[in-house]
Amino acid sequence: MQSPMLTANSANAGALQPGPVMAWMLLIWQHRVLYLMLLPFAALTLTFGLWPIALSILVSFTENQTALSDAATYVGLENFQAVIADPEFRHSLSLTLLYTALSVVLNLSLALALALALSGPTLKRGATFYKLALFMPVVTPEVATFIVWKWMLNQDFGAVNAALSSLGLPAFAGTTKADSAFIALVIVELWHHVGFYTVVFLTNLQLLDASLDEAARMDGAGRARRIWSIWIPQLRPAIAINSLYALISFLKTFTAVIVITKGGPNFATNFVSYYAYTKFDLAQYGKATAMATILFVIVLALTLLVHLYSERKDYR
Amino acid sequence: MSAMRRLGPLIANLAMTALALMFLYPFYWLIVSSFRSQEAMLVNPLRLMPESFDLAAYTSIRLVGGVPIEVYSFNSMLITVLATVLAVATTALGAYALYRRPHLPGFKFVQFGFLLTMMYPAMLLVIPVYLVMFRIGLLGTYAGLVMFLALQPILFLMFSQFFRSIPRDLMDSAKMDGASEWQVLTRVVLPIAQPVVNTVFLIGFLLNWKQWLPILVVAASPDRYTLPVALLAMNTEYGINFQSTMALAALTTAPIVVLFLLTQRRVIGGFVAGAVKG
Amino acid sequence: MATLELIDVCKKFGASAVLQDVSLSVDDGEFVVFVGPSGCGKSTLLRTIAGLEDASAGLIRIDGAVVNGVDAAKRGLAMVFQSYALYPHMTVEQNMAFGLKLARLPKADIDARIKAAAEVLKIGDLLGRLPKTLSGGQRQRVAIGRAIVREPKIFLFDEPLSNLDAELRVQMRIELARLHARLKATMIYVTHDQVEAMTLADKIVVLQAGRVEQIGAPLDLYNRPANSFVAGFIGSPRMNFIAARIEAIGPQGVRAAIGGEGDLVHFAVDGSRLRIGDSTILGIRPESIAIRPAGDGETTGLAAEIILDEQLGSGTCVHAMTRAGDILVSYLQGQVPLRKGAAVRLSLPATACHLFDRDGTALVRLE
Repeated sequence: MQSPMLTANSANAGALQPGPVMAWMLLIWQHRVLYLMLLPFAALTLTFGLWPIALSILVSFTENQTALSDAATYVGLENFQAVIADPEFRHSLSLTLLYTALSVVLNLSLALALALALSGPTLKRGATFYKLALFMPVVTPEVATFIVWKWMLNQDFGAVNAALSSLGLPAFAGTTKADSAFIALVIVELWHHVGFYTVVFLTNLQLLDASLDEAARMDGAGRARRIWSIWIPQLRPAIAINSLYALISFLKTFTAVIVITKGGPNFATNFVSYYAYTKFDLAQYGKATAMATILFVIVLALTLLVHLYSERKDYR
Repeated sequence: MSAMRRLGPLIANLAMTALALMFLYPFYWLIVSSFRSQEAMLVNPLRLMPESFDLAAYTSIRLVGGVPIEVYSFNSMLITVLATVLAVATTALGAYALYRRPHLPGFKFVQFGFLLTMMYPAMLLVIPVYLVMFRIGLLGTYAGLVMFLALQPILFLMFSQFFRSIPRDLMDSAKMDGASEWQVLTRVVLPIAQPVVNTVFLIGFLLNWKQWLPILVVAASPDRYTLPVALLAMNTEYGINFQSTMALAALTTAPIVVLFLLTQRRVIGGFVAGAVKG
Repeated sequence: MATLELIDVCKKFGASAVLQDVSLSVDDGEFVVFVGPSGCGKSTLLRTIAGLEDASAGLIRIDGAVVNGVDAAKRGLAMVFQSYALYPHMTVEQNMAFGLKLARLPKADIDARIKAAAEVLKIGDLLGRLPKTLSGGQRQRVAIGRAIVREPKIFLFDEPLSNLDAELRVQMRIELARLHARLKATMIYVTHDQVEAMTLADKIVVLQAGRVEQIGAPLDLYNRPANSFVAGFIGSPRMNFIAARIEAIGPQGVRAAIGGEGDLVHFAVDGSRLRIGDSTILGIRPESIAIRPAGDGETTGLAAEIILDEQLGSGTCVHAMTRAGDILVSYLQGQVPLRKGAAVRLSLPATACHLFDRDGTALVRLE
């Protein structure tokens, strides 16, 4: 029934104040089952999460040749200095940020528009089909679908240009020109991701407080006005969570690049994660991990920012 | 006015249908292209039906990179199923423990560490994971792959979200009825969670099927590759083997499309549940 | 069947203290009610006794044995929750059998106990149903049944009636009282409703801000509240409070001025801690105030004007404002023809008045 430690303590009744270490150990012992439950998950997180992250950050402070050996030479911030001094890295970083900003805005606004359209009575009958079509790209293997897109964007026998020319529109250069390759990635990733953000918005729209909307109607507000002043403010948590997901996923854009453009043409889609990967391929481990660390810090900072924003303005 | 009333919804539905079809078109194009030769594609890229059901591509991918396609399929199935089972088991238990007593010593650390892992660029995490695998002797093994893939953020979020929705009273009540912490989980929480466990399993399966980079990096040789990885390897030989690539892409995608079509309501609901702020 | 003893129990969540030095003892078979406004710590106190929360300091003894650190599952108590907390995937019978099965009771015993409890609670025909098909009142009975079959040392109730509608609440209250009489078990009951506390309890524990304000039998608390908080909390309509200034202190009691006109009222209380000129608070229950129409050269009592009359049929609640601006509520039996605007005289019988010092502590009556 009682643990021996407790009986010992209760002997000097009224002073049940074990030392902090004892209290700590007692707490762990009391909840040992929960600790056992957490153990596998904690072990995985440690082994395949925190340890490699720590290792990666450590490697970013070592010299390339010795990085993976047991006797690594630490060079302080040298890798970071080299990376920041590298004009291609700065170019890559600004590309990544531009790409992320553009993609986040496009994805979220399209998703919001689609969710608003799908939540109304007009599109009710086909809603299941529409949702299914939008969501299919989210779940299918992107290696396969991005390869399909690469070929669809092909100038000779891709469907994209064939369709454009049959509509009498000018051809799209696809992955052959710098600007169009960048735009192609934006479009392909939009296709891949927007369904996810749409259903998140849609679900949240369906959870809205109907009485607020009814009150606004009684006040004579039109549909557009209600969407702007009643619905969107209530969607703030959903906007925050979607922004967070979108930020994290677009900052790390990688699969689309490696499958479709390989960073080209002329480094036009050489985003940081891909650039770091190529550095790794060239055995420049210190530089590769320095870039990864920089990207990680950016993701962390932006996440924190979005989090603070959503906490501060959370008026539910 | 009344004409407008009728026309408006019609136009909206037509526009939405057109958009939906555009979203589905790549899948359609993929299937059709896998039956058409490269020459036929050059003549008419938009043709809706193949000239003939040319199965040449499917026979040509019996061997990819010298490895039989069955090996890739087997690897895909094995790794996906095992990783998902492990993921569901560990994340369910972990999320439950963290939900039950978030303030126990060390629990915050695990939760925070997990969140950090979520934010680290995954493709760059794979590289140090390679080193870790090497050190613990799991490089190139199924066990190593399965354990790494079992760490899936969205599955954890789905479980956390669900556990938060269970009234705390229910668990307290079980405690008062004399249940141990393990019995609270197995006799009360898990029976209620059965549908959620199924959904999480489904989503875990879909997500693990897609994985390629960890497998590419951690697998020591092509006979550990899964379908997406074999496909990527094929893709690097640009322009050479269009039709075969399409056939392999179709094989990689088809099981997922079928599974998704059968379970779409549950899958979409599950994804959203993992993305609701809590 | 058991006794319970709490000695200086404290509970802290982070930096905030939810319970501070709570001491109390519960006799075998006693029905004790914890009452107080929401956030006073009464539910936390119950959960700490249950073992669902750990006490930060202090001792909890059940039948003399210290149970701090003993898991909730092993304290041998049963609890009825506000939300009923029935297991949604189990039938009523399985819900009731759950704890007994965990305790590895023989099947025959389990069946016998469920049958007996179902008879007492009249839920025999619900045994095969799932909780979601039951009404609120039925769920409540099942939740109580689940506690009864456990034959616990102590029954714990956490606001069990607050999710029921008014009519059902009264009915279940009566049934709970009968149940206690029948089982003669020790019961601890948490509520924010002072009527439930008054009608059910052998002993009431009034809590506020994590501290015990007073412990006593219902009528003791009503008649001799230890402070103005208890005085205001127990009794409905609420006790009236008006400022009173001490004018004279003697061995027979004190005289205080109320109502701004300098009306002097004599109180038979111990004034040894007071000084002339101290401001105190006079408390008087609405049913103790006598009220007469003004006029006829009547000069005793406080002059006031009626600002609101609430006709309840069985009684009348009259709100009167004195010239000093104090509002006093008087409750009169029957249907009284006093209407808004009428000028009246209020008399406050000295024996019914309570006097509280500036901190709200009741001044000791001289008997």
